Amino acid sequence: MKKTIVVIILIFTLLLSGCEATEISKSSIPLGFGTDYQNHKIIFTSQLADPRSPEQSPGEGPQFTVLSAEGDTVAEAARRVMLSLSQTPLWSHSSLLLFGENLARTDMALFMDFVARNRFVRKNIPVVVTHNATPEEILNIKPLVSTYTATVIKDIFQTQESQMGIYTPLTLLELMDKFAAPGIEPVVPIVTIDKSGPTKKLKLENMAVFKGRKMVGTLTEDESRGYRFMRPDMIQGGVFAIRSPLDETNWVTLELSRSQAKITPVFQNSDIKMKIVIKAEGNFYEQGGSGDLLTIKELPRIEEAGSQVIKSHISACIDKAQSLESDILGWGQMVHSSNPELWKEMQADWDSIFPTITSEIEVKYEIRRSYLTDNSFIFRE
Amino acid sequence: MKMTNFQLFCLLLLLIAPVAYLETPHLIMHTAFNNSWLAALVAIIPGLLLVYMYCHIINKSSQPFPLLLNEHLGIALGKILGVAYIFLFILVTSYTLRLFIEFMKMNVLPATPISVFIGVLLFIGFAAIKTGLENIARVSEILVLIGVPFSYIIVIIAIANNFHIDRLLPVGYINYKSFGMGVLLGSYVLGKMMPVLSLAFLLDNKKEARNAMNKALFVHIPLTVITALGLVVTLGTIPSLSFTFPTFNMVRLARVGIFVQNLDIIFISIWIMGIFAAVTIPWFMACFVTQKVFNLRDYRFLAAPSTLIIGIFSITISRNNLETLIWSMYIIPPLYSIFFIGIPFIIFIITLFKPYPEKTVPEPIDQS
Repeated sequence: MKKTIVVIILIFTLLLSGCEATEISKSSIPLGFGTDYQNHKIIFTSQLADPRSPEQSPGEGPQFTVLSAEGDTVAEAARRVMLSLSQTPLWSHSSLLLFGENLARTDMALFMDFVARNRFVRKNIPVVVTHNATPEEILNIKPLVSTYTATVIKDIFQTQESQMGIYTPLTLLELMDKFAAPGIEPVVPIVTIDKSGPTKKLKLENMAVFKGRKMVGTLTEDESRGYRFMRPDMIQGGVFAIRSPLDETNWVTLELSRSQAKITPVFQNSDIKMKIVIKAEGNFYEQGGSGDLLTIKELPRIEEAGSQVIKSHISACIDKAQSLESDILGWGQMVHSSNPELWKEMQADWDSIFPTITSEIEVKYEIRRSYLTDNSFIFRE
Repeated sequence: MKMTNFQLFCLLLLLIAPVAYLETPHLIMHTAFNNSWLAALVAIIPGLLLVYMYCHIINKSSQPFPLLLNEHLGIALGKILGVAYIFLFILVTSYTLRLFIEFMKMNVLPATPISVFIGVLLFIGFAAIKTGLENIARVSEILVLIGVPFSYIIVIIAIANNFHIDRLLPVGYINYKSFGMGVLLGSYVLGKMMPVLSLAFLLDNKKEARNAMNKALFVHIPLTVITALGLVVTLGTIPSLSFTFPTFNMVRLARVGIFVQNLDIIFISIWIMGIFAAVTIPWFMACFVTQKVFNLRDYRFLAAPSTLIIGIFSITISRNNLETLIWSMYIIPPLYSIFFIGIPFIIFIITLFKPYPEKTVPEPIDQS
């Protein structure tokens, strides 16, 4: 009898398809999605993959479809996309989140609750702000080499981190934390369309600075580098150029292999001074112009020049943050961590205190290696 | 029937850990914020005191719970409390079931009717009780051996991927009241080990129950500590407070490289297994206490009628997830504290002035 019951149950399990099963043929893969705000309406855009089998011709057109819809809320706009889509989007596959500058400058509260609450939106996806273009325009750009715009933008972050070392990626979770936690403001990389060439290209350019719920300004490339140098975790990768100590008209490229910042608030009576110590090391990567630059005598001068460039980037970032009165550097949190009693007194007035805080920057950049050659390229006399 | 020490350890761990894994770090965080992991760690002290208290009661009692209520408090009060405990265990089962439903509806399968969740879990719980405690104990061994290592591994992977140690600062900056409340919230759940007052009498030597309780405590507390710490360093304190099940949100961040992602389904599978035990064991206790209080021949036939009560109670216990949250934060902690810690404490005080029983003769639990 028992065996019969077990067999019946097992047979019935074969008939169960699952309450919320989604057939692969009836689902679509959103690669990224974005939101903007125009004319008091939320515009929701999603890029959906249009995969083709190897037997199919790749064709001329892009292998993706971009769909947009508008609504009073993000959820409504997102659902309206379905009015022109027969397949169910599997949102948890989205790997990029974009929001338009209009939305960023209006009020991020129009958007954040949706992404925080939504179970399909993974919190570890990178976020970007679009500048001079809507998310729809960005997602409609056909990438130069790769297939999908959304994945390209995500990959650009990883590549630039090791190759250029300018912009600091931000995940949705970090964005949520920085919007919610006191004493720190978010900075989000900006993606734009480069229309200078014959074809439109995607480009990371500058970073959006937020204060409270709104975007209030941008960090330039150098300021973004400075921001990156002040990250609490160790940074690796990137290059920067300095003037050649032998000839000011020539440039030298230095590589950054690693850099660690130590930022501590120093309390003097009622004043706060931030002591920023950067210990960085890298490699001598390229010399523009001639002359024997890579010598034991010249090396300290190169290192000093490298340190000065890093210092100038950091100073520029601090100046911009203070001019925008936005504590993107998280100094408020640092004060809270090291002197919670003082933070309790200052927290309410932190917006006005932050721009007045002085800083002392100490950078030590050291060159470790010079790759295949141990002196400068020698031209015949 | 008899039970091994390891089986008792597994049953006790499954009573406290599955719900606590998802719920306790979040609760503590509401009062202790970034120091929630410290409060979870300090909860080991009340935990050890609880273990001592339960052991003392076991050693000073000649009969298992609920008969020991009659032994120490008198028959009238013992019976009244026994009936109250029946309702309590039904409530614990229904609440745990409801929590499971809320989790599944909010995070995994929102369109699935709750009757499916209730039906499935109650069916296997019913089957487990019908076949007897021995089988529940055996299944518990498997659940612990699979569940505990995976729970640790997933949390560690999630932490390793999103590690912001500065979020722990300032360490220890918290007022005594908040910290004390955090410790209380971290330790009240340990009171769910109270069924040991019945289960210990199934061991060859009931004094060995201390060993099983200590092991359960020392596996559970590090898991709670690492989960609480993980929430702070991965999600951040303030976002964690706004999530209903932040542990799950943290687990969703776990990935290995760029090729092993979406590990949350493993977490869900393990958690469902744990919830099976967390529902079935108090359900068994409800049936067992009923048998003893009303002097019935067996407890297993009670599984069928109690299924209906638990199923309906789990639906009517709250109208929405906000009400479930209120249960979780304001009703369950004092209820557990009174029945699982407060009343045993009174018995503990009474037993302090009583001699050890001359001969321990436990009544057989299983009639089979």
